[in-house]
This record gives sequence, C-alpha cells and structure tokens, in this order.
Amino acid sequence: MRAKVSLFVGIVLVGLMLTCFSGAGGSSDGTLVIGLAERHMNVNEEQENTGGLDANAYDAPMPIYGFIYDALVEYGAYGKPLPGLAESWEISPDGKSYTFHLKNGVEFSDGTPFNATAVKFSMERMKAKSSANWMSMDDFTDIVIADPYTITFQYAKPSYPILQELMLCRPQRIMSPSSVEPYGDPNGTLIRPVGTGSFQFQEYKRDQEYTLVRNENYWGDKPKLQNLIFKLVPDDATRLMALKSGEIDLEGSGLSTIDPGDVDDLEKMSDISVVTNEGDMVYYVVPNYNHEPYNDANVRQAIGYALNKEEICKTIFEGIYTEAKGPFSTTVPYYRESYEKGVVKGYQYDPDKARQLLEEAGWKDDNGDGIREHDGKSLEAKLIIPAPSVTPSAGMGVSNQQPLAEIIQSYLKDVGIKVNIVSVESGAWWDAVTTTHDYDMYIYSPWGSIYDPPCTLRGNWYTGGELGYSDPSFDKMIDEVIASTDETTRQEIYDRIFSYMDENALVIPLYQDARIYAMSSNIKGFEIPPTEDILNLNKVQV
Amino acid sequence: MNSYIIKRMLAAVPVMIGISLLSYSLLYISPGDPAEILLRLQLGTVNPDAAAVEAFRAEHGFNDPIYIQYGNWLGNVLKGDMGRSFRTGRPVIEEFFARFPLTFQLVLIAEILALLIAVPLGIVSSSMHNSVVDHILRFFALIGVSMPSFWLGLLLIFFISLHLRLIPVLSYGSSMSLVLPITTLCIGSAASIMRLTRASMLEVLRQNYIRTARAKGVNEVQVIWHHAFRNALIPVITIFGIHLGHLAGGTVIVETIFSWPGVGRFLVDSIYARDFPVIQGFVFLISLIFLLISLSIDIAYSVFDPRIRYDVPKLER
Repeated sequence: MRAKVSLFVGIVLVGLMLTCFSGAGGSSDGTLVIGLAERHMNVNEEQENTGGLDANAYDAPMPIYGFIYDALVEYGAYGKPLPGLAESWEISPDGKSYTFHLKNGVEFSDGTPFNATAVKFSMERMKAKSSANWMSMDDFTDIVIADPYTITFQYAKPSYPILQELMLCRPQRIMSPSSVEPYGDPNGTLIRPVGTGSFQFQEYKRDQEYTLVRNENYWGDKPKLQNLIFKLVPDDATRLMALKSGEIDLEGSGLSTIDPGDVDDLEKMSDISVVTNEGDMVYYVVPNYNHEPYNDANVRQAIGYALNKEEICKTIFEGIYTEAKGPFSTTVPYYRESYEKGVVKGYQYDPDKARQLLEEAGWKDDNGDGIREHDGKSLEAKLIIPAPSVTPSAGMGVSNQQPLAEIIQSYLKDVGIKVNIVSVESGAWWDAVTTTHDYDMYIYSPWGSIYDPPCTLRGNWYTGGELGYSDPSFDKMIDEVIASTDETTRQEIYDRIFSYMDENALVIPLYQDARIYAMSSNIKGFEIPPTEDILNLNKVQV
Repeated sequence: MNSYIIKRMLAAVPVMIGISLLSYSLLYISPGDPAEILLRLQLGTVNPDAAAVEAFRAEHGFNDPIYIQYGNWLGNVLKGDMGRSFRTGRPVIEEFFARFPLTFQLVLIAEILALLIAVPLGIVSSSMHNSVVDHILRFFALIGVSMPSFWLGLLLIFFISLHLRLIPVLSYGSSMSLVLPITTLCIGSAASIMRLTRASMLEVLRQNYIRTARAKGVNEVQVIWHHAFRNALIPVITIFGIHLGHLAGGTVIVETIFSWPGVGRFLVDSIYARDFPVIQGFVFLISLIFLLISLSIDIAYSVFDPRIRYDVPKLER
C-alpha cells in the first residue's frame, strides 16, 4: 500500500515538473521571438489596441516600424539610397523639388491600394503631428500629385538631408489612409496600423509584447517566418538569460543592448551564434567651449593626445569597439569618404605632445603637486556623467559611463589635468547638457539622425545651438553643405568641415561602437541590416 | 477602541499633508524641466521644440508659483481627482490600482511565508541557544539579510531557470510566475524576522516569570509557547508591519528583474520622466496605505498583549 502511494505521488510530481518545462520560446513553426529593451516607448491609454504604432508619431519601440511600414526610399549600405516604395526619383537642380515615381500594383495589408494619395496622407499627418525641429522633410510647402503614381514634394529652400530623412524608421513611413478614422484625414485617430511592410500588426499586450504576423499581401518576397513576437524585457541581465534559455531567439543592437563584456561568454555557447559588425555611433568628450581653458583649441587638442583610445577600447570594451578619430562613425555618408581620404587625422596617443601643448598654452606645474596651474588657478575639469538608472527604460538609456570616466581621469592626471567626476541623475544630466551647461566636459555621441551629419552639426555647433559654440565661418560651411545640390561640391565642403573640426578639436573622439547580435544557432539567413533601427528578416527561417 | 481609531485617523491628516507637501517641494526644486523631459520622450528627439515646451508648461500650470500648484493639486485630491499621468494619459488612480494588486500580492505572500518560516526557526534557535543548530540557522540568516535583492533575484533565475529549467526566465504570465519573485523577497524578510524572533525570545526567556513557571513545573513546551512566545511577538509584529508598508512601494528592483508590472517600477520610471501627477499620487497613496497598516498593527498589539488597551475604562468615583 505504501509503495503504491509513493509511486502515485512520484508520478504526480514528475507530471507537475514536466508541465513546468513550458515557455521554450519561439523557434518553432515559423515564429521568431525577439527581445526588446523597452526604450523610447510611450504607448498611452488610447493606443492599446494599436500598440501605439502610428507611422507618423514616436510612440512604439523603434525597430517595429520597419516591419510594418515601408518608406519611399530605403537605407542601403553606408547610407546609399535604395528604391523602396518609390522605384525612382528626381531632385530638381535647385534642390527644392523632389519627384517620386511610385511602385505600381502594391497593396496595403488590408487590400487598400498604395498610391500617391496614401503618400500625401502620410506626409501631411507627419507634419500635423510632429514638432521636431531637427528635420527638414516636414517643411514642405506643397505636395503635388501628377498622377496616382507620381508625386512631388515642394520645399522653400534646398536641404539635401531630406532624402536621408525619408529613410528613417519614423515618422514618415507610409501608412494606409484606412488606418485612421475618418478615412484619410491627417488629423484622424489611429484605429488600426496598416502598412505595406512584410509583416502586419496583430496584437499588443501592455508592457509585455507585440505580435506581428506575415503580411500575405506583401509586394516583395514574402518572409519565410509566420510570426514575430517582440518581448519587452527591460533588464539586460534577465534578457541575456532568456536568450540563453531559448525563450528569446534574437537580441542585439537597435533592439536591446548587449554589453561587449558578454560577447566572449555567448560565443562559447554552442547553441548561440554571435554576429558583429562596425557600429554607427562614435562617443566623444565634449568640452564646454565657454569655460576657461576649454575655449582654447590647443588645450582641447592636448586632451585628445593625452588619451590612449586603443587601451580604452581593449580594457573597457574588450577590443570589440574600436578607436575613433573623428566625430562620426565610418559608416556615415560623406564622413566615410573624408575619412578614407585622410582628411580626418584625429589625435594619436602622445602624452608628451599633450604636455607640450599645455605648457605652450601657459599651464605649468609650478608647485609640484602634479596638477598644472596658470594665474593661480589649477587646471581642473568637471566631468559629468549620468548615473545609471535603476530601470533601464528610463532616462533614454545612456549606459554606465563610470569606468570610462575613471580611465579618462587617470590619463588626464598623467599630463597634469585634474578631473572631478560628478555623477548626476539622468534628468538633471540632460538638463546640464542641453540647458544650464554646468560642466567642463561630458561624454556622448552625435544626436539626431545618425546618418545625417548636418542634423548634429546644425543642432550642436551652429551659432545658437545646444553647446554654446559660435563661429560664423563654421556656420557658413554648414549652411552651404545643407544647400548643396551637387555631390562633388558637397563632399568638398564636408572635407572642409571635418578638417575644421579636427584642427579645432571641437570634440575629442574616443571610440566607435559595434553592432552586436546574438541569436539561437538554428536561425538561418540573418543579415546585418545597414541601419540598426530597420531590420529585414525576410530571409530568416528557424 | 473606536474612539482610538478615530483619533488615529484624524492624526493622519496632517501627516498626509506634510508628506505630500514635502514630495511636491522636492519635485519643484529638482533640476530638469518636466516639460522638456516628457517631450523628449514623446517626440523622440533630444531637443524638443521650444514652443511645444512652453505650451506644455502653460497647460499644466508649471508657470504658477509652487503654493498655487500645490493648492490646486490638493483641492483636486479632496474631490477624488489625482489627475492624469503625463506619460500614459490614464488617471493616476487607475494606474495605481491596476498595479497595486500585483505588487501587493508579491509582498503579502512573501511576508506571510517569511513569518511562517522564520518565527518557528527563531523559536527553535533561541530555545537551543548556542547549539550547533542555532549557529547554523544564524549563519544562514546573516547571509539572507546581507544579500542584495537584485543579486539574489538574478542568482535564482540563473540556477532555477537557466540551469535546472524548472521555471521559464520570462516567467511573468506563466503559471509559475509568482515563485521566483516571492522567493527573492521572502528570503530577505525571513532572515531578518528570524533574527528578531530569536533575539526577542532570548530576551523574554531571561525574565523572572519564566524562571517561576519552570520552577512551578510547567513543561518546557508550555513555557515556550504559552508564557514566552506571545510576549516575544510584539517586535515581530512591528517588523512585519514595517516590511509590508515599506515593500508596498519599494519592490522596484525585484519588479525590474522579473519584468513584473508593479507599482515600484512604474513609480521609478515616472520619477525619471518627472511625471508629476503620478509621483505625487503614488507617494500619497503609498503613504496612506502605510499609515493604515501601521494602525492595524497597533490594534493587533492589543490582541496579543493584554497589557495594551486603547479603551481604558474611566474609573467610577
């Protein structure tokens, strides 16, 4: 009797344990589970049934838009424009008119025909919704429809980045007029996100996940996958463990963060493959141009020579990130060409040269304490860093800069500059960086559209810009390059711009990051996308 | 007893006003413009348009002096309106009560389990004072008290989800979702309750009346249970109440690790985003809950300890 009871209990327990072996993620019947870090998301009450996926707003997580919506022009390698929903286009010689010839025979996922009316609707909706002053594409004065597949955008002044801006993941991708109520009204309410992309929206579970399914009406090569599930997992460590346990199939740049320190560990696992590629972000030290002595270009250059960027990349970033010589990544259009020509020289690690520059600028160590002085003031710098947030979703996700700051502090001490690291709560850090300028240095990267140097140039270093820098001759160069209509002239002006930035040490470049993707090894056909916000998983199968 | 309760409720009013005034002032003086921070989030740009920022500030009364802003808020609260979250647009009260049950179920179950585990262990430990068992229990209690919750949580996921594969890593939504977060919270609380129970029991066991009881010939189990335990319980009940109140808003770390959509995580995100209505509202409600728990604990004392009475009868003359 006792044996029978024990046997029964044993079977029940085993049964219970087997039911716990649930949740083994996607990787089955054409479902791919992607881990998202929940950053840059703001889905409110009215948007739950649509997941906040308005093509012309900024509410849902960035990577999802590219699956549901297509753009007129798409991102190719190093920013080369490729045909998207527009087969071809012309830009008028004065740079003020953009005419697009749209693909014929394309339908939205609900059967609504794609044509110039839909494009006009999306552009007008974007203009109505956004007040982002960093873009030019929404400043059109007129949109002219010549026929259902020919549309022209008219602008008051030429701005070559417009074509680049049209490739972004949001807010200008093309949404069907049937997505809003009333039909086709740019000020209408979103009732269902309908696009021409290879997948379509199915469901959003608040704070948990998005589910997309294959778009059977897709105009291109239909994806092999049937379902895409985006799971929102804010904590980096938890997400990594979910990847290792198989509950998530893919995570990486643009979707979430993988720390370079984890790459080694992941590569050793037999059921996970890791793919890396050069990244799109450069991180640099930004000095305060209005605080002495950082208004002196020689002092700024000295800081550049004092830092051993190779060592920094090896120690903090496991050699996966590489040394940067200029303010932009080598994947950024026009910068890449300047860089390859050798226009951008950067600052090779040379502490003796740094010391020499500082001496010549009048900073000498008279009292032997290791820190230089001038006119009774010692050479100190307040370096502000954002305190790492408890919940990664807050504070626009600036990663932990403490180790980097400490290494910089020690290199600068070596040449006689005393750095005080001040860790500031993220809201207060943004405030200091954009408004109060209560810092001598901070560390960040170009903001705005990554592939669009004028956006950063205009926002940061133009007179009246964020950083309090003013040089009318630099302003003139920036204006000229934006208005340029000829590729050769444009590149020539860029060469001058990057050379200027180099000579004047407007920033001290540190490192260029890398794209890191980790996925379960039964995923085939994954291609690293040209831009991290827009993935193409059409060839992927599990 | 009733008049005691009423007096306590009345005393709570100035406390609540003080707390809400303090939190409003802290928000007001902290750096970072809520309009900019919010628009940065909503418009996806580091540098929101100045006109939009001004419009936002005007709409939400940020240009008024602090006493007017606070007065408006208080007036609305008394009418039952805590405003709407800047980020989600939903009423603050709705956000709170959508999340509070989730947090509280973790906290309540963890605390009760902790009590059930720790109190007996504490009694055992104290009655076998300085024995091997006592030392072993104290050792584990020390570890439990010293371990930070985020580390413990991640360790549990690592071993139980990743290695033993008993529970999925992303457990929220599955049937086993409560297990790991509750275990994480429980271990820390249980450790501290066990140590406190042990210390309190040792204190009581030294008393004269215990010696008397033993001398009278009462058996040891009766001595411990009937004479010692109930007297030792007062500090334990106190700490139980404090844990409950504290954890009602303080589980943000556990919620982040286990992707648990509770009060703590939402509140911390709201602080970073300077979502004033949520911060004010949540602080107010959490404080209120803490006060209610505190009151319940005080009443519980009178149940356990006959020396404590709130309705002392007036002596007839």
